[in-house]
Amino acid sequence: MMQLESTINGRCTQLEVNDNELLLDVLRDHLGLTGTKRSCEVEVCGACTVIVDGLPVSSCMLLASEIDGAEVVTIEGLRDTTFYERAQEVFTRHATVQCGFCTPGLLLTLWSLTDGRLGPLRDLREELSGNLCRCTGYQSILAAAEELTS
Amino acid sequence: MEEAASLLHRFGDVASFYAGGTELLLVMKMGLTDLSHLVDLKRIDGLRSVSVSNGTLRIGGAATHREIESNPLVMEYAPAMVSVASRIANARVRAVGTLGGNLAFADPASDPATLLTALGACVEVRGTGDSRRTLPLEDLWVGAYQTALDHDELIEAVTIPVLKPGTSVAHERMKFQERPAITVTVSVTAVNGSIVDARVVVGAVAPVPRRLARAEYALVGLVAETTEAGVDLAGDAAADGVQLLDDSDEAGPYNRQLTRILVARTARQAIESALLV
Repeated sequence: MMQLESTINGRCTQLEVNDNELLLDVLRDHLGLTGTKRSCEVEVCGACTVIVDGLPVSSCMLLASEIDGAEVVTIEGLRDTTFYERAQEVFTRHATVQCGFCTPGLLLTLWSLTDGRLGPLRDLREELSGNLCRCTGYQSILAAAEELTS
Repeated sequence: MEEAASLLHRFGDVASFYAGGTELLLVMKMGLTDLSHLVDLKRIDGLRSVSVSNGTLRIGGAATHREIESNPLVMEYAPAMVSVASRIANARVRAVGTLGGNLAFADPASDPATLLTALGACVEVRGTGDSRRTLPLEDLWVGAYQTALDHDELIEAVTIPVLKPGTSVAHERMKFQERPAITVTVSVTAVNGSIVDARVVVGAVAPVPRRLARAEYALVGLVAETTEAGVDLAGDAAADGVQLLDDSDEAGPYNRQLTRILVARTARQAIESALLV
């Protein structure tokens, strides 16, 4: 077992985790943050994306021990932000959400792109190429993403 | 670093260095390895730093792809490394995965491995006690997923010599989903409008990235007017000379054709840019 302390969605959180536990399992099973989705489990699809110290990471492939001392934001942490308010409106208008499983990961990736810590925004298609939508609604996703990041 | 190496020594086969885990955790999840101890290298001071001295760029083994692509020194001294690092897998892998981890895992589908081989890079290796050695990248890999590193040796840094004047580097790849099916780097040096030195490295279709001497030979001596014919010859020589990971009746001809086309294309790009200067 390991003792960790990190800031999760703005709240200082102390955790006791198994050495081999993945961040995804800690978020969903210990903390009930089920907006983080379990899907491919091989770091390809982006459904389990969370933000650690400003960067998007796959929580399915990160040992929970790595978030000791770090700042973690999940989709639940965006709830009261102006970004989220705007994203809801834009995503709804473009009919971006079909089944919705990829939406939390997409929103967190977009949020990390807009908060400026990653430097200037490069090609949006390239940046989002790691977030798969299995309903294949890519045109509406890109249209919404372009509006949100402009 | 000494402590990390000695931990590996102490725990033996059930221990491994952990430098991002984007590939290591994957093979652990697949049940392909039976590790009970991981020694995290990313938290070791200085193992993520980037510096320049004596005409050599030095990147710490635990620097992440994201740190490399956004580092001003790398941008200045090895711009090709920036463009390669910024296209590895996806943003999440780049945030966590490290250069040393990538090279030590020896996955054939590695973009940095191919580029760095062409750039003549070396790895500084650290082991238990005072053990240190420097290996040219070409000697680091002995086969797919196999390196010349001892169990308790870690990659402390990667050193990249600064390019000779008149040198241009081009790197191309083709990928399906996120893993490159082929990676090609061509580096050429031009003097007075003529190519005097060339390096051609092909990876991903091969077990390890290797220079292809006959393809390089086809490029030396080219001038603007002979470039088109020369790069096609280089493509043919590369397709002929490449040692394929999968040379079956089904995949072999396809992989050779990929090699032919991509080597010619990458060589054309490198030469055009070298002759422009």
